Amino acid sequence: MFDDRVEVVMQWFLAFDANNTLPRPLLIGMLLVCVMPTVFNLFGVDFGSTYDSFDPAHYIHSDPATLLTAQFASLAGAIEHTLLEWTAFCVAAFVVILSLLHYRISGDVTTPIIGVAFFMAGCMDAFHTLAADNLIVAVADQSDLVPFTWAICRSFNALILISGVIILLVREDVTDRKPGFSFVLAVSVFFGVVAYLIIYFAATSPELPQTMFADAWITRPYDALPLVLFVVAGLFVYPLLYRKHPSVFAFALVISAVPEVITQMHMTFGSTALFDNHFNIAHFLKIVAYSMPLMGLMVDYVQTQRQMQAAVLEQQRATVLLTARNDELQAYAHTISHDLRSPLRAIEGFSDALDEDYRDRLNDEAREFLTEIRSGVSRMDLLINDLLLFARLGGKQATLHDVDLNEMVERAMKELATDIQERQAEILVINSLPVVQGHPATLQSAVMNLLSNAIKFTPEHQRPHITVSAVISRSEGETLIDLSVSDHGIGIEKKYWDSIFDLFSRLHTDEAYPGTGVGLAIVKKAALQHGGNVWLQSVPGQGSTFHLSLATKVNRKNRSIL
Amino acid sequence: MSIENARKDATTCNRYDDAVNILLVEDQKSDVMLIQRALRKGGIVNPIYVVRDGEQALAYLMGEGKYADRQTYPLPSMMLLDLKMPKVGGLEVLRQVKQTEGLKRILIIVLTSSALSADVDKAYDLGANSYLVKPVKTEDFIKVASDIKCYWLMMNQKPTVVEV
Repeated sequence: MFDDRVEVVMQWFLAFDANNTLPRPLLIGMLLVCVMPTVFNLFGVDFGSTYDSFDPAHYIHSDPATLLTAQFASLAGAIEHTLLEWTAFCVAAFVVILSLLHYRISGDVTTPIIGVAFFMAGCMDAFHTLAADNLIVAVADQSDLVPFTWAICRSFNALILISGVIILLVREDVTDRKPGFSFVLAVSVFFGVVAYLIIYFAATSPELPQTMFADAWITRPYDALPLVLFVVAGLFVYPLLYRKHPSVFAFALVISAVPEVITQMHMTFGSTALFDNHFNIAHFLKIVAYSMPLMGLMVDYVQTQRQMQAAVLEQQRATVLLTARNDELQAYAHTISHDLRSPLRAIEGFSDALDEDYRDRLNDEAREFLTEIRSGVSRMDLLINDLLLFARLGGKQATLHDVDLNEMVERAMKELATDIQERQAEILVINSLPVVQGHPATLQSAVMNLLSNAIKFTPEHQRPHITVSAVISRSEGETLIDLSVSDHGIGIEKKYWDSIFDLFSRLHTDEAYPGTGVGLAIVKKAALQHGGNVWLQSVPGQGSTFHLSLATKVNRKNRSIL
Repeated sequence: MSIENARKDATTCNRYDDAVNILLVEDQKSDVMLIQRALRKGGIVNPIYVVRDGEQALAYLMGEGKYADRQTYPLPSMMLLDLKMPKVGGLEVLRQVKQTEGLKRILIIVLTSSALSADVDKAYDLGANSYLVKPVKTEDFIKVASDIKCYWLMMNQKPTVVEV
């Protein structure tokens, strides 16, 4: 049975990954601090507060200075107790502040839930201290009130943290989403009120149960409950949290159970009187226990910071590399394209010369061959042109310009004037298109290609009817413009809806519909360059609608449209 | 535009200066032939002298070696210059010519396959008068030739080029 437990515990601890643990020196230091007082005790050092009882009758004829000294001497134990308690309270306060900061940065609600629960326990400690110092008027005898409220505080501390973890985990299981921050607050306020009421009740009760039994084996039975609770928390509850939400903070919480348990052992089995050796050691070790989550949060913060720096550096390096590669690729594309042109020019020029100068000596077939050669040259020339354009677009274009999409359409129509006239195409722009912030060359080319496709892929015998429109939408602080171009052309089968945007992807022979397969790749490039996307809706035989979305700032001039 | 149309176009600027000597600097044999052909079809009947790399071009202009004979190799007042050439490239020829008194007035029209903006800008920085990209299609090439004829040989005032 015990061996099983050990194994379970070992498994728990083996589940800790190196990224989410406290640094080893810190852990060793904490353990040393935990056992140090006992070691000193063995060497005869006593950490108990020495204080004299104060008998006013004794000082009736003393001067005020002597009186004051005597009063302070009698309060030494209480003052030391207050300092220790208050230090613990301050640590708890820092824990909640850091946990809230952590929440701001990471958005992980686990940390503030535990942090706030922790702080509430700290507040209870504060009430306990104030009551012990008579700052909250207490009617019960101090020697009963202090140990009683201490035991209450310790139980409360263990309970609130255990409940905090359980509520967090259960609620997560039930609602399948992380609890909101208001939930944290509600739970905390509830616990806070309970904490205050308990202390208030203890302070105003004239009779409190006896808590210290100097001669018994268990000197303070009331401290046995929190001792058990902390053992359970440290072995089962906190590790459960760590398993679900591994973090340095959760790890620190698990580790904090060690000083907590030692604290309770000093109280349960050692302390027989107020401000004695074990009493003070316990109060001191409580501070150590509270410091663990604080350390956890600080280590977590440093780690997060380092990770972010590393990520930024990595990104910078990647960007530099990518820019260099892109430049290289563009230079490469340029050189290839231009060097390919030179022989092409020779083929074109000399087949033309042949056709012209030797026409009489060539028969029809030979002349047809020459025509084929020249049409091949034309295709390759077109391909090189498009390839060059594709390589050039999306290069180093750091600055964004105001781009009037209406103007883009007009310019494209001018460029396509011959085709539009030949096919008697009708291009209808619905309403006015917006002015966007973007890269003019890419957008121009994208609009050009969409329009020219719409004309090209309308069957010969039909007049192309093309509609251009834009829808502006806003989501999460981003303005999205969906520019769509619709036609009543031949349409595209669904299975090609993605692949047609790939470079060189084509669905028809050159005789049916001439092209290079670069156009839609340029459209896609434009979309990606503007943080958007491309997609299409189409019914084969009825037409297609191409959507080009642009995530961009819409110029102020368009506010009225929004 | 068809070849016929381009050729018709070329006949329109018939009051152009057909006495201007043109130096063609081009390393590719096929391009030399195609350019000469295009120029002729574009209506330019001017004497065209051909050198095949940058070194020869500079020797020609400086009147070195056989080029000292200006009867056979007269000083040109217009140059069609390729950029990518063996030994001395077009940009270097451009730089040297534009730094030489007398010669720097020669109208230099860069005629190359490179449309790289780096090349274009560099050429203009060095003082090129015009920058044209060699077209692939014959009709486009003839159009370029006829435009050279109409603008550079007719409208444009010719400078006085002085022997070094």
